[in-house]
Amino acid sequence: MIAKQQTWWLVAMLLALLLAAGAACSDNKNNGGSDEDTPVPSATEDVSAGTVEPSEIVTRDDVLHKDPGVTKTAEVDWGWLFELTGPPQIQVFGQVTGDGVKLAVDEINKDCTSEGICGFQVGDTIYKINLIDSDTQSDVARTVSLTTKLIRDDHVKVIWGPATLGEAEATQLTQPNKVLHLCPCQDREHTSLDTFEKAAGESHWEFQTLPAISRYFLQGAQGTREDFPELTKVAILCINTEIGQSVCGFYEDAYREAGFEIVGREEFPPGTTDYTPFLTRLRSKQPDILLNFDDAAAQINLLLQAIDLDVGEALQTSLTPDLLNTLLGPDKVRQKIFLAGGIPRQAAQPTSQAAADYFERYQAFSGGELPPASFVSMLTYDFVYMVIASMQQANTVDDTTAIADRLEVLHYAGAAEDDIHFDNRHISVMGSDSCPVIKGVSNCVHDPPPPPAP
Amino acid sequence: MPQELADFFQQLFNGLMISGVYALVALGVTVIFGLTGIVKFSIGELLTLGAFLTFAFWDNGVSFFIAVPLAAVAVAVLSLLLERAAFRFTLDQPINGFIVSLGLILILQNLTVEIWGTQAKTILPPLDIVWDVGGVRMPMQRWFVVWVTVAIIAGLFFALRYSRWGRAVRACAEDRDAAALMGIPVTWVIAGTFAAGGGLAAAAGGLFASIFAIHPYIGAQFLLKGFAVALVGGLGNIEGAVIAALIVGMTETLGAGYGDTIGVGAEWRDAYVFGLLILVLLARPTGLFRARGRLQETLQ
Repeated sequence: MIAKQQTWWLVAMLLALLLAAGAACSDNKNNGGSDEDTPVPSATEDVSAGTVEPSEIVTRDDVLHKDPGVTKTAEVDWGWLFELTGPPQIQVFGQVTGDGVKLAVDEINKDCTSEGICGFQVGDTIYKINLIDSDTQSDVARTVSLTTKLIRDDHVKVIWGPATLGEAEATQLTQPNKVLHLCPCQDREHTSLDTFEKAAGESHWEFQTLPAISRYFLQGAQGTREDFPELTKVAILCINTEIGQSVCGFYEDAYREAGFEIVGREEFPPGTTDYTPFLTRLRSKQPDILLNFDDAAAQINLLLQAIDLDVGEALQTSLTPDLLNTLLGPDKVRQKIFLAGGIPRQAAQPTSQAAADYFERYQAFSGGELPPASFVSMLTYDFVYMVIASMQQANTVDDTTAIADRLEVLHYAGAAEDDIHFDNRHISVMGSDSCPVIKGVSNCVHDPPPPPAP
Repeated sequence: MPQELADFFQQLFNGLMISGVYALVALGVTVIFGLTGIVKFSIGELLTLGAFLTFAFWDNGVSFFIAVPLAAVAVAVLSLLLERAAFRFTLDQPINGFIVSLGLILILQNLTVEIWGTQAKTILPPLDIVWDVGGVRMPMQRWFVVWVTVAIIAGLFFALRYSRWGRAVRACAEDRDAAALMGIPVTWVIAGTFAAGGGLAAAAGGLFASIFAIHPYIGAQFLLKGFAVALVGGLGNIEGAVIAALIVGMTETLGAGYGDTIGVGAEWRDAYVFGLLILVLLARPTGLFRARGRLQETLQ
């Protein structure tokens, strides 16, 4: 149950948000000393003064730059834990976010000097990355055991993953051991930061690569209000899990605050395929917009049935415009407005040249076809380069405190965003794509990151 | 039509639709159990395979109306082969058959993922018209599925009751040894029943694919309800399965639609079904209707 809930949380957050314009995030960067004996400030603390200054925006070319004549080589071991098998709604995200790391590592390991030495340079050495990769099998106990092995036996300094399941448990192992731990970690905002840090003091070496999605709800609601002022009544249909109820609560609060009238809210049991009894109930309330929350595969059924029953003028969806056309058929797509989008950028209609180039590279890497939810790979890809940039700035591949200090203040121009960085809770700051589909035609725009939480 | 009345008829239509799907799954379970005593849980995966084969044919330009029978025949042949290769060795030990069935679930599931991936697929409904009768929205494709289901059930019912094969099946269900002594080729009757059960499940999957999105794990979702229906109707009892499917489908749909009038939210939908199952099994351990064949022997 917990597994499903966590996954739905990620799925909904990644795929189903309606996004609109917002102010850029302003962060108060903190820092900690690189000395092992120096107390390190908690990631939740807002430390305004420090010795590490925010860096210039670093690019991929900067990271891959190698001084001529460097011949000393070495290898660094990194841990890689993702959900490659298990329930489809979990493993699809494990696979794709894991791919983001592998793609970046592959690019870095294949970037060679004229002398044929490949990798990235830190100090006088060019390093190749050796990924010690494992399938967590979407199993929390296995994730814990693999994390323990990576730390105790393999002595890795960096661990990537998992995408959803077991990240909170892995965090409890990585942080006391000062292992740099990066993952989408959608629950970190609600679990590690709120519980582990309080209990254990800090999680200075943990970084959440998924933006603080709770902030996107209000931004999305306000955007919908501006784009479609004629739509005023909202119905909500969510899965009946703890996370489902929580998300529905977010929806309700955000849309009410944005000025919508909430006319109905229904919850359905997990594993539902036939939504018609619930949709019939909501239809009687005559909503203009149907917000919903289920995993992507199940949502197709929900949308098909909502169209057949003619519930609402606009349907929120996690599906990309091209998938909508393929799965629902162009006729059905033309019947409704679909409120779609993606964090940070969707692949169907790339909203920047960097994103378009990225998806081309990913397509080639994955054998000619982009996997479902391919854009989720962007939640790890750029961060590999950011970690290396931090190593280069800290001049070490081992001192994780120094690396984390640099990562806290690093700004990076990547495939997903021109300025990717972490906020003072170590949560990434990126924008998102908004893609309303009107009469079958979509128009994707990229929105800046939502304003930070008050 | 007043909104409340339209909603009520809409819920009845919704319930009828889902009852049909449950009935087809339950029939596959009940026919095989009635004859062999094997609870063939892998029937859910045969449904999935039928759905994906239908999709594959359709995706390659074959008409949906031909794709469904083609998929049903293909899965029937596969079921026949499975019976010959595995299940026939477990007929005297149904528990072993049950284990084989569980193993098949994993094999077929992985096979489906390997071939078609995990991404959901849809067949665009060939009858893409929605009738709106006084506010009751009835997609024509759903009506089509209901009527085909009725036709399949009627066909199966008459085949079992009046055909030579049907009489042989019923004789084998009553007493395989006696049937063999009477000259009935028991081995082939059983193999044929496996094929028919698989074909039924595949047809259900094919029809299902025209109204729902499919993914490699849908079988499990419907198997649980289909099995509950078979139990409520009395394992091995075809008429019982059909009536139980209606009862279960309507119970969950109307429960979700109107449960709140008695203070129970729509999210309790599945609890209605399994609550009903518990009540039925407590009151009538063999189901609402008389169980048939080996189950009856087991229970006596």
